[in-house]
Amino acid sequence: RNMAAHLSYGRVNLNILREAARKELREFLDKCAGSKAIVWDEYLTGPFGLIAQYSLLKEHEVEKMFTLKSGRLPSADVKNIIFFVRPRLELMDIIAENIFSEDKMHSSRDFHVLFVPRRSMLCEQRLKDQGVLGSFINIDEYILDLIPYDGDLLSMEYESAFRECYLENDQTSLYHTAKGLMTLQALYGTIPQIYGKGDCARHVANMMLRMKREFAGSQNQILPVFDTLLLLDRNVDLLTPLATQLTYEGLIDEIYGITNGYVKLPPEKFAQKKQGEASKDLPTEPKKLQLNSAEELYAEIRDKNFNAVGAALSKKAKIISAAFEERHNAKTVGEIKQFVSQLPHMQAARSSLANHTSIAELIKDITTSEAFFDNLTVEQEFMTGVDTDKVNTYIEDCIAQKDPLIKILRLVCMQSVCNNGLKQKVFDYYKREILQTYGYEHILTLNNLEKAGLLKPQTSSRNNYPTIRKTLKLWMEDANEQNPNDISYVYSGYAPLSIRLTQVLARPGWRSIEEVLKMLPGPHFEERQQLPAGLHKKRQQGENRTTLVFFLGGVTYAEIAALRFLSQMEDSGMEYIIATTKLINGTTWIKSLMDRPESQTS
Amino acid sequence: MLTLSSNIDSKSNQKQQKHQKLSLCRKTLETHPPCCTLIGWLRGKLSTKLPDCGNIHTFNSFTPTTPLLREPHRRSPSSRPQLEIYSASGVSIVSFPWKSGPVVQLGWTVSDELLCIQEDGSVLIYDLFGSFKRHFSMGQDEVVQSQVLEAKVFHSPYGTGIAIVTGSSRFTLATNIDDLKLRRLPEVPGLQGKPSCWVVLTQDRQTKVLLSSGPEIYILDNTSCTAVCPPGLSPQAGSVVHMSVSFSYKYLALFTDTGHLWTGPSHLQDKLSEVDTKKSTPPKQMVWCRRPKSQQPSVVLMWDRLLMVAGVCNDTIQFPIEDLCILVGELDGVRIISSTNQELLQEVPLVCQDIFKIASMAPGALLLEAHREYEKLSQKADEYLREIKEQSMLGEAVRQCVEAAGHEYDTNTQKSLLRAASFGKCFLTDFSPDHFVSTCRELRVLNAVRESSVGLPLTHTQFKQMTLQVLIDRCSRKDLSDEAIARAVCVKVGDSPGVSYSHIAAKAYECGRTELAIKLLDFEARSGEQVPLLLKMKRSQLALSKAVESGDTDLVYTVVTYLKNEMNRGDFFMTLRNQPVALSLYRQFCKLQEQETLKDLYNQDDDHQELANYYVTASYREKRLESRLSLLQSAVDEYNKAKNEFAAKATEDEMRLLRVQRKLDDEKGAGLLGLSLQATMEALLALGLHKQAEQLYRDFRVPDKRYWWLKLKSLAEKEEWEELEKFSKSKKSPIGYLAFVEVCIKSNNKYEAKKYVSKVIPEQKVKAHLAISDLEGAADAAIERKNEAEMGAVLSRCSASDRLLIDRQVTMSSVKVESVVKASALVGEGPVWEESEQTLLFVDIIGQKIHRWSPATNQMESVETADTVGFVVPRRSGGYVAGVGRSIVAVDWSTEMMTSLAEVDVDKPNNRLNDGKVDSIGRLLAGTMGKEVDISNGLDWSLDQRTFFYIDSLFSSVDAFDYDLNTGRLGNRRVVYRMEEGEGLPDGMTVDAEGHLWVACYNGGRVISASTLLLTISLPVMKTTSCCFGGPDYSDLYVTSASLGLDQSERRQQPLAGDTFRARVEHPPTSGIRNRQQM
Repeated sequence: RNMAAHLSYGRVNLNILREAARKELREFLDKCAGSKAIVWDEYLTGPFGLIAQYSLLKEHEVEKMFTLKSGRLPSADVKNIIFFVRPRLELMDIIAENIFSEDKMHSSRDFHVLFVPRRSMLCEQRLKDQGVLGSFINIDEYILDLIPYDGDLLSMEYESAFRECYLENDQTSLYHTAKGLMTLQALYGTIPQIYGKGDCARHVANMMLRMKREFAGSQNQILPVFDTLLLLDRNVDLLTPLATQLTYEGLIDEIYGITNGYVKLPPEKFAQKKQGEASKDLPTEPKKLQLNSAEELYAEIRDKNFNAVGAALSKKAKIISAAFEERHNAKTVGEIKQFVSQLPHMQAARSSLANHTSIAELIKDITTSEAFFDNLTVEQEFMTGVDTDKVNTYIEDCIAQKDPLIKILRLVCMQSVCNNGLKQKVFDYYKREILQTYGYEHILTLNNLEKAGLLKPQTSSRNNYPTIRKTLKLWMEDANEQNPNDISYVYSGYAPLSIRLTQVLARPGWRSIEEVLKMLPGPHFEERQQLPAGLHKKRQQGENRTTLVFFLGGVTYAEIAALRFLSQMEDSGMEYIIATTKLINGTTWIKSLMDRPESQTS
Repeated sequence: MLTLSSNIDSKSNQKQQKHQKLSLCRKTLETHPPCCTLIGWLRGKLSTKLPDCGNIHTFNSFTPTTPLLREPHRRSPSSRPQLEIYSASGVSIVSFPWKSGPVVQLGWTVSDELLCIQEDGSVLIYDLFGSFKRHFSMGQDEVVQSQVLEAKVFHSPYGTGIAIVTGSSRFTLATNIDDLKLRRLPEVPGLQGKPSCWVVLTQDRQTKVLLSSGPEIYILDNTSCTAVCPPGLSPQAGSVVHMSVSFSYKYLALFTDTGHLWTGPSHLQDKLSEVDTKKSTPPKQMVWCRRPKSQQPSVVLMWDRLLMVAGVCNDTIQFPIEDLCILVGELDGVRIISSTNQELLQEVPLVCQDIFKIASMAPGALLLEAHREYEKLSQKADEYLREIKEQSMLGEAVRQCVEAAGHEYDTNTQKSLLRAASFGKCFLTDFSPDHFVSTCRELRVLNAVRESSVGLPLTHTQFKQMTLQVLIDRCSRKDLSDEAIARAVCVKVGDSPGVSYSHIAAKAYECGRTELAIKLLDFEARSGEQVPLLLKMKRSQLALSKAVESGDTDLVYTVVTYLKNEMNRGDFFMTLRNQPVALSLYRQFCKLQEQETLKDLYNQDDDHQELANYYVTASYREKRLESRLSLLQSAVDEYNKAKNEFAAKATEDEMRLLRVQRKLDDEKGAGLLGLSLQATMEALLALGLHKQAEQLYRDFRVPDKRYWWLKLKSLAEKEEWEELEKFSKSKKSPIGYLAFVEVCIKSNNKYEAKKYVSKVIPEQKVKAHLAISDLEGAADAAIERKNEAEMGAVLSRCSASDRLLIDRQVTMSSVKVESVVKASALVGEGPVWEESEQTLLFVDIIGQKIHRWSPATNQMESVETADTVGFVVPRRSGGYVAGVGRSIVAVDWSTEMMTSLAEVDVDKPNNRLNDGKVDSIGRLLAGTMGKEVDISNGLDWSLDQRTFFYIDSLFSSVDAFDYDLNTGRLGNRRVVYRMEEGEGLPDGMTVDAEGHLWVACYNGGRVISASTLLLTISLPVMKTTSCCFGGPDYSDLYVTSASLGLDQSERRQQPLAGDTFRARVEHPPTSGIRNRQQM
């Protein structure tokens, strides 16, 4: 039983990466002989879930798992206590506290600490200062930079990357990115061509080239799997994440939020009515579902525009019921056996169908609401350049109605981005409205948004956005949601800028859009990495090239859908693997940029 | 007892030594390329100078090493003397004119410093490269006055020492020049001037001088001068004119004026031998030659053209020498340096003798032979090998070969020995390879340093004694710039994997070469490795920039923390300022760990904006309002400095708001403190404090719109309807009146809501009417505005029962109708959308055909039937089921085969099957044309499957039955729609996803939506027969038509009669999931 088989079905077998990560984990666990308890930095459990299930830990004598918190460790009759933590100072203080309170009670327990994704001298110093460094038998690092998220998707699950890079000038995440890419190259061969756009991209590329020098000579002689790496700064395309995603997966994320590959849904629609049983007690726990391409149906529909999901579901329903009807045709024992053997798969398919029908219904309730429609209308007006230089009445109304602040911020930022900044009067008006309605403390958040370039006063009268929109064909009037012929279907008309850049790079090349590239922030560049002799790929006739697109600062599901669409286009000649610091949507993105001081005044 | 070989030529065959029990072998230390190196250097000007007595020459001959030949300080009356230093291979290292006083003696210290002992007793110390290091004096007035006559440099376990004898015949000793303690030795009785010969001895931890004065020999120590007599020295031997002490001070050799050579231990308790050399002149030099652990000490004496070796036996070996030479005694031999080359005279190591002796049967010799045969592919190899093995001596054989290889100088000999050893090793199971490996390594090193470019011709024994560490020291003590060394290292090491420059650099640092270490670190690619060392070397600034360069933020943090502890705050901040990346990281650190420092950082950078933000954040941590306000005031000041007027103003507003809130809280107990302005007004309104709310609205210049919304909601919430009405009339609403309607409805007050509908602007009228569920009004408004979208909105709200409210003349012009299948059917009927194939099925009843048309390809396929065909439906198991004549038949499309499944109305042969459909569980219902039913036609089910709709065309009505899905039983027939005049006869029908009935009107030229009758789709033909929804998402309405029964003029007017049409509706009743129409 392989939980991660879907990782190996893609163009690039990402299961290799997962297996490498698992192997390392097992090795570390075996280093600590005897029974163990793991104390988790809670943030890590999600990312770890993508690498290993509890069963793997159990096989290696992990008997208990706790969440790292201050105070005393829960009692557990184990030989080893292992802390799985990110290298953060505040966590070191908690660990120290844990250990101090522990010593008084037990004596012969071994402590270990595993830093993810790497050791930190700073943290070790802190442990030393706290006087507990000597308590550890093992201090190790577990290098987990790029986590295989799906068959064509890698994520670092590094939530604060955008904020750190663009707000705080902290490039830690970029260092991890470069390291992660080195690991990837160790497993999949040197990537001969690197393209990039943006300051962070440049920085990552520089570090990669530098690290390559560090590893000189120890490179694996592997035929390169990736032909090209494209590094894209999120701030090159600030617009896309602000727009509401209209693919199935995108909408699930927008409405319910997908975390580490899981979504939690309101349970009512999933109440299982068993026959003859009254559905009197509805489940109260949210329904948790894992969403990835391991689920056949999901893989089929997740990237469709939501308007095409209904038809797809109904088609699937027919196929499934037809399959069930096959039992009537089974006459011989052999045929019946055959049917029965397929039954688990069919039942899984049926339950999958039921789940997605329910989810689609939940989403439909929202997408057919007036509020959703109005919001979308305004977004599309901004994207097409309608009245972007005035105070928008819909936004005004939303503020008056005290709609969620993030929704307001998304819209205002979008207007600012589409207008290359807001006129000072408009800008101040929005800010005043927000502060008066949602509270003065948000002045910090507004300041952050300004720093990140999402919100700005118009300094030059020139608005580049229309030029960019026209050159890159960001708005397609006749987007076909059912049978798409262009990536614009993912936003029902808007073609994500980031993906257009990717598309143009593949053909006809960036040289054709030099002007536009200059309007977007940061440098664009190309680097070549020398391949060891004999590793130059001999391409088969008609064989597609593979590009790894790395989004520094996050990527949306809709953008991923658009890239998958490009991969599937028959004449594109290019397949894409996607990597990112984190999967984001407008809401989680804006949230990560917010600052919210808690008031102490009584 | 001593047989001596006169084998001078090193290249002579080793086997010639076969009869020697002990042999002394003189070898030319060959350097590469052979024979030319040493010749090269001494042929220069030096070669002629050597014999000059005026020249003082010295060789570095302490400890086992001797490799460096340095030379001479030339004292010439005419010109300034020149001090020149050469390497052992004759490469000039340095040369400079001597500017100091006359030099008596040159010598080397253990640490390769050059000692120049001058006549006046001062000693100048230079390093290897001729730079002056320091000086000291061997004595004060007495020495200066009487001058140094002779001096000797000696080495002992205590270091390098100097002994001098002055013009007043007094000896002074310094045992260790690095810890200078001068000892003036007692007077020697009767000595005038210098003694005829003398040596320094180290015995019993004491340094003594042995000297010969006339016929007497004295031992001079700290306290006394004792006359001694070497035991067994023949009385006729005469007086001692030359003496030599062995390297280890263990043996002494004395040469008398009668040519007798006496040897014995240096404690003079014993005698080894006495040889009559038959030479009348004292030798130029006399040096001990001995291998450690050997029992055969021997002395080498040199005269002008003769080299003589004398051992414990009475015989001697004599070598002629052509050139003038200098002998240097060393650990395991004597180095003979001539003007053209350098030779080493040493005892042949035992193991080499064993192996190379002619006809030696030593295991090593056999193994060497075995290997030779093996290389020749001769089976003799096996014989030899077996011979060794039989004696169980293979291990010993290997050991011997390895050891011998170590002692050999010729690389080919080394190789053949090692190959033999390696060959022998293969036949041993548990033989430790360590010795073999280390010997190979050592030989590589030795061969390398013996090269003339390095010029350290060491023997293996010397090397072992010296240790690798010292050798490296020696080698690296070259006067190169750090830059050049670093570059040289880089050239040598390159990018070889596994080489860490930081390790090299760490070594350099350990040796005190910090600058070199830094240069070397530059080559280190891994910054992680650079930084800790740089910190250790206190190059923190450099460490910081390296850390930043690496991109590893943890590294940057580490350096920053280090700097913070090392530097004073001002410098620390300045340093950070030059490294923006480090600065930002430190800011982050402070944000989490040290808020106060953060403030200082912003202050230093004059970053007013951030400083203001800092104050704002800080204000929220304050519990007391006053402190909070004061922090906010600071924020205002900083915002002003940052020229951020907006923020300054907003902050001032916040302060004002806080004050008002506190006041109201105090007065009214409103609990407002900390709320946003909006929330404050909301709370005030909720408390009925309208005035105060109004005050805030004005004071803070809240936009009218927002305030109106707020008030409207608040009043509605509190159900103050009168107040609300008053408010609505207070002035023209900036938010319009639809808001009023909607808010009232939200509060469930339809009555109040209605009041405002009339005030709503036309654009929102429909919405307003709909809000109060006034469909009629909404419809009127929509019609008035002729707005399709709005009409759609109204329609979507209508249920069947609302239909009478609506004017059914409303037609939707937005429906696009086109003829898609030019079938010209006689009676097109029974359209069915086959989802799996995405095709439209329909029949031509009278034309007796089943058609299948694909919209995607616009291809039509047809199958003829034997009789009239009333309907066709897809069959679950594939193919179709059709009603042909009175038979229900299965149709196999590909073969056009039809198999009868059942026959109906057997008793009514004139009847035929007409329309038929399948229910949701796959049951087929079909009607016939006969007497009970006039013309059974359209049929379909409601969404919940409980109602069955049915059309009997001649009844002009659409009827409904209760339908039992389990049994298929029908009951409770009732009319749900009766056709109006002009609408023609109801024919086929279908139910859409929202449960609305769509009826094709025969002779009516239209399809009507029978549930609401809001929608009429007009078609360009009169005889519309049936309809169904289809297309990928069921948004297309397909309509069949008939041409049968049209007259000529009608045919002309309706050229499309018999075609199948597709109507695309503006607001498609989107499908949902329809899983039926399948049997």
